[in-house]
Amino acid sequence: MCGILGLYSFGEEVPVEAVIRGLEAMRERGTPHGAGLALYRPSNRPRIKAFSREPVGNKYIKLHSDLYDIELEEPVDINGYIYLNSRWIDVYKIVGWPADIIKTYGINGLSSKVWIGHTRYPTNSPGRLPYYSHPFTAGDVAIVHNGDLSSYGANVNFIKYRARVKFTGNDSEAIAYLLLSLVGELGVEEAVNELMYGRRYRWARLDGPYAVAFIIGGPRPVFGAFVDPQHFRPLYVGMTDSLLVVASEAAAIKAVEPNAVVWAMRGGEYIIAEGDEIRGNYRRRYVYPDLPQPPQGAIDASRYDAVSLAPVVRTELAKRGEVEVVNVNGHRYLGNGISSGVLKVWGIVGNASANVMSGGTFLVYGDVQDDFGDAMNGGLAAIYGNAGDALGQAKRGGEIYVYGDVGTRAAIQHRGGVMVVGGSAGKYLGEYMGGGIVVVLRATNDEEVGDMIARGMVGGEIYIRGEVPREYISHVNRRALERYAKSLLMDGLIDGEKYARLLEEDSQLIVEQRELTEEEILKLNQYINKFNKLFNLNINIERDIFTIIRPKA
Amino acid sequence: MRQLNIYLRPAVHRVPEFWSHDRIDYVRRSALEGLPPYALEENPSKIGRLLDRLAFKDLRPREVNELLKRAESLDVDVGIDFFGTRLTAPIYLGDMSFGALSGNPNIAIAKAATEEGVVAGIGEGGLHPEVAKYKNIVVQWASARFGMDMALLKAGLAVNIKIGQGAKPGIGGHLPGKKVTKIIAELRKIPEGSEALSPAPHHDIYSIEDLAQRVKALRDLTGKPVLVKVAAVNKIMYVAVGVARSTAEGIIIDGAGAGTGATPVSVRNHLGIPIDYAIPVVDKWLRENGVRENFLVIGGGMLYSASDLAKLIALGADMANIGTAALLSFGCIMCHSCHTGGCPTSLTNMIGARPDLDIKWASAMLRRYLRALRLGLKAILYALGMDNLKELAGRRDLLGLYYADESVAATIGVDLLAKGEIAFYQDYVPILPRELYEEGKVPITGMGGVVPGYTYPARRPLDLLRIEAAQVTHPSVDPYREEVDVRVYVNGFEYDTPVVVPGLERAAVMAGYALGALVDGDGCPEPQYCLSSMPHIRLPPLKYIEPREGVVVIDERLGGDVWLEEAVALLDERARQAGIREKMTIIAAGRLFSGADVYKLAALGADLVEPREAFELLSSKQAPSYAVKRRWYENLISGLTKELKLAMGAGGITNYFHMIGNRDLLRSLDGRIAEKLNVALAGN
Repeated sequence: MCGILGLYSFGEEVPVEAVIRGLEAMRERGTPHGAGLALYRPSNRPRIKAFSREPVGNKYIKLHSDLYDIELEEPVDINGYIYLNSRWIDVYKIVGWPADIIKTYGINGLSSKVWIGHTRYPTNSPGRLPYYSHPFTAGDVAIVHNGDLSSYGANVNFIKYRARVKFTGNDSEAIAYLLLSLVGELGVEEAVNELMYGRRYRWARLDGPYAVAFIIGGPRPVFGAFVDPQHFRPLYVGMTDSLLVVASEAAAIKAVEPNAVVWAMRGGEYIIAEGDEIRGNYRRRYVYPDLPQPPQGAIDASRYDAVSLAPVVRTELAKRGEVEVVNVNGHRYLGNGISSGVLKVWGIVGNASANVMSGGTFLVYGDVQDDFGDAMNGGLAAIYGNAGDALGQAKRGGEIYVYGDVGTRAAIQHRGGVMVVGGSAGKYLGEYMGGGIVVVLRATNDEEVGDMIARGMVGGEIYIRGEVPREYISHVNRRALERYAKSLLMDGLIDGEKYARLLEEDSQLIVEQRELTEEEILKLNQYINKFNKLFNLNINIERDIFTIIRPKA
Repeated sequence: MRQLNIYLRPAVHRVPEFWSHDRIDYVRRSALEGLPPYALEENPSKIGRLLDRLAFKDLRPREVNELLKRAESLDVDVGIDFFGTRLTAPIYLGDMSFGALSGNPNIAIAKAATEEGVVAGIGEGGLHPEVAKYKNIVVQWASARFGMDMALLKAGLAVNIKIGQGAKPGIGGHLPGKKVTKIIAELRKIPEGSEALSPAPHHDIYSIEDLAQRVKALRDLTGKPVLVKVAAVNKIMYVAVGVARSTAEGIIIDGAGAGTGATPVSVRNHLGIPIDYAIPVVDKWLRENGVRENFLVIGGGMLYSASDLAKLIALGADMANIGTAALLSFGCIMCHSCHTGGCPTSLTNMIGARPDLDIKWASAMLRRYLRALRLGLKAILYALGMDNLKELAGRRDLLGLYYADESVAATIGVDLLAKGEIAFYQDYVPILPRELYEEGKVPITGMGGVVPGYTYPARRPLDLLRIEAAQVTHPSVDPYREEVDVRVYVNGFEYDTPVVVPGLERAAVMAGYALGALVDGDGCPEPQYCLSSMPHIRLPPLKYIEPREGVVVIDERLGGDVWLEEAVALLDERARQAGIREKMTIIAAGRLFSGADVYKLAALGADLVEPREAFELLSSKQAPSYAVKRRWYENLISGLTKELKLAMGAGGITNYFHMIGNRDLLRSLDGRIAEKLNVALAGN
């Protein structure tokens, strides 16, 4: 569920208004059913806050639906739920949109160097009470979460017998308790690893989709964010010299800090900031060509919200045949269903754009977020930047050119046409691929392509420049294979020769690593030439080793 | 060529299931006469669906049935507005694709729906040119995008985003290459003879906010209302509220037991909940969250009679989704062989030449069946003193529930009029499918109707538990192509599957060792693979077992005072309380048969599971040689493990070892069993 944002400043404190601006940029990810913030805000005594059915003490605010937000001197039994007890962290959460937080609590101008925030789309608990709004805290740990855990029951089992906890029933709450418990035993970095991979403890591993940002209070606050190994949820990172921002959408980071360098995290990556340091297993991916200046008279996207720009563009395109749009920042559905004309946009194109596109030309000067080119049948799209997840899903025709990187599950169910990627690709490239050509050049970013390549591929061809490790394509459990072969030998069911042959890998795919044949060069060059021309590059594929993947049948 | 236009004798089932001859006869008589044999059953049933145990409190069935003869002239409107098109009855003929069906049935359905004034979903697989001629259709946006283009999207009255279906919640689709014939290939826009895979989730929809994005994208693209079809999974209420908030105009909820062209048997039988549990709970949640108004709720799965329709609407639905019964009206004999390509009634996609279904005959039969349902509904409404359907919607107060427990009645919000239990038991010996042990394949079947303990006899309380599947709120995982890890560790030693193999003979021992399973026996080439080499205790299933570190085998062959499932659940809980759960290994051995059984025992707290019955059935089979027998055992182990992985993947679970004891993954159809096993009741 939801949109998350987190930031850590190495310099000036950041005002609440900037955080809200980022969250409001992800309005399409939220609802009026929950929003919240946590910030680093040391105090000389614990801050105890609760939602209560009755007012208690003298510090309280009456919320709607007969509920009070109360601040207590000490933890006492109340008819409600204590959502904060920490001397390092402060939390504000409401039922409403992010902007309503400032209004409800009158916290204009409140500043901190560390923030996390959340706009909520309720999944597994009602959106009527602020109990269920994020952030969730456990001691000095505060978290925001986008996703829905399938491991919730197991995680609760882990926590239940270690700490006395009053659960609201929201799955995200479990993450705060797990983190608190694991950080104490393992330190922050190992705790995050444990949540993602579960190597030491049972039942602490998170399963299902999650992108999480957290703050751990203390004299020296720790900030961090991580995203599930399958990359079921998006998480972008933005940096300047003095600021680290993470968010569910690139557009949100740009709304906080227009000058930030922004890129997408891959599944299983985490980033941690503490003191003056940033650490983690993340990689910086930031590649762009020189971009042309937008013309005068282009449509100004900042006048439209995320969903109302698309119909305007469609109408204009039908009328004029060529349309330019500037200041695009997360606007969705652009170019959906177009069959002719030229569309040029500057900025970050929002999710689900260029869907069911059957003709025409779509040039993006900047990045595209997830699910660009879904069910595309024809036409040409060129991205002068990077693409998010599921690029060209179920694409049956047409051409997509990407200057930089593409995310997870690029070319999933790709059935026709071509996709050329100048940089690298995340996990599950070409999953269920049924036809067409996918080329990953690793020229603008020479990073390894993620593993699980060509899972369930039944047609088409994938060309990846360089030698891709075999286990990235079809993972073979050597231990199991050797034991199996040995057992056959022991029963006299195979001879030594067969035994050796068995240990060679069996795969549904033909995988070759070699230079391209003349025929292949001829076939690919028509696209590589176009790629070079579009992005003003000079990539030559003739002398390099490629990993070539196609199905056996 | 001869065209098929007659009824064949219905298939005979060894173990009774939902689509009995009586029910098939109800549909056929309705289709022949244009009037149902009766509008309401004489008495509530002691076994079966909740719908069969429900009755309208104030109605006398006999009097209502008397009304049937003059139903046409009764001044009652059972029509409903479907986004600007007035339907004559609240019926949606649900989503059978060209590819699942053989073409002529698709045309017959679209024709009958349009002519009789109901609506038909065309399913995934492109727009058949003959189907496109009919107005009352709903097109589908599904995970594979087969045949997707603007022409398809612009057709029909609405667009339906298909997330899942009742017969295989959280499972992807697979049309084998041999069924992808020329015309199917053209419409789906894929090469002829190529495998047609549909991913389990939409890979752009991993959460509710992603769904909202797709709903709005399709509305932006087509200007049409958008429906979302989901399976009735354990947590359907969260899904439904999320769908309503996504701005979709409606939801189609497909319950357990619903039909299909092909589904893994263990998935069909154990995942998701029946529609009569789902609808009242969904209706209640939608109302409480203020999103029920102007939101269309369509429910389906094992519906066939006018009485079903009336009760489902009273429980909280607006419309009923009818699929299987429509096929029954023009010839289906419920032989469960849709997936083989050998449908004897020419309904499902066929391999090789067979007579085509007579479209004229089929659509006329379906029209009369629809008419019969409409008249039956009119009679019931009239008897209730109502003028139109709206008055009936959500009137749970008009119903009474018989022969159930209080917690079920409370969950669905209906008064309990006679106490009883949902679970019904009958012993039978299951058949070990050939494809399982000869080929190591997960057994596949066609059509639904089997929900153990509910529409099909249960053999033990475990059968009443329903496994969670993911719809919308988180993604399912395809275990054939993606990571689902089923390794388990005992004392730090790694096994490749949690299926424990009874060491019945050398072939079984060696097969277990070969596939990295723990063998309950001795003679393993490496001792760690044999249970006999490690310290363990073996106990019968007892209500009280002292938790202790190390390996505990609970073996139901030793007798005991409770069911195996209960003993496992109790011991797991007790061990956690004692703080030693991580230091102990619980192995459950018993009369267990499928990967779904393994899943359920694991979720109740077993680390490893020994499905003895499956192996014993295999051991009694004569094999031509040791080599063959050994291969059969290997296939059985890998087949059971695949079934387990399918169930895990459906719920988006990627690691077995970390899910053990996660009871949140299970729901019980029966209140007493829920209490005993410390599992929540379906609908909660």
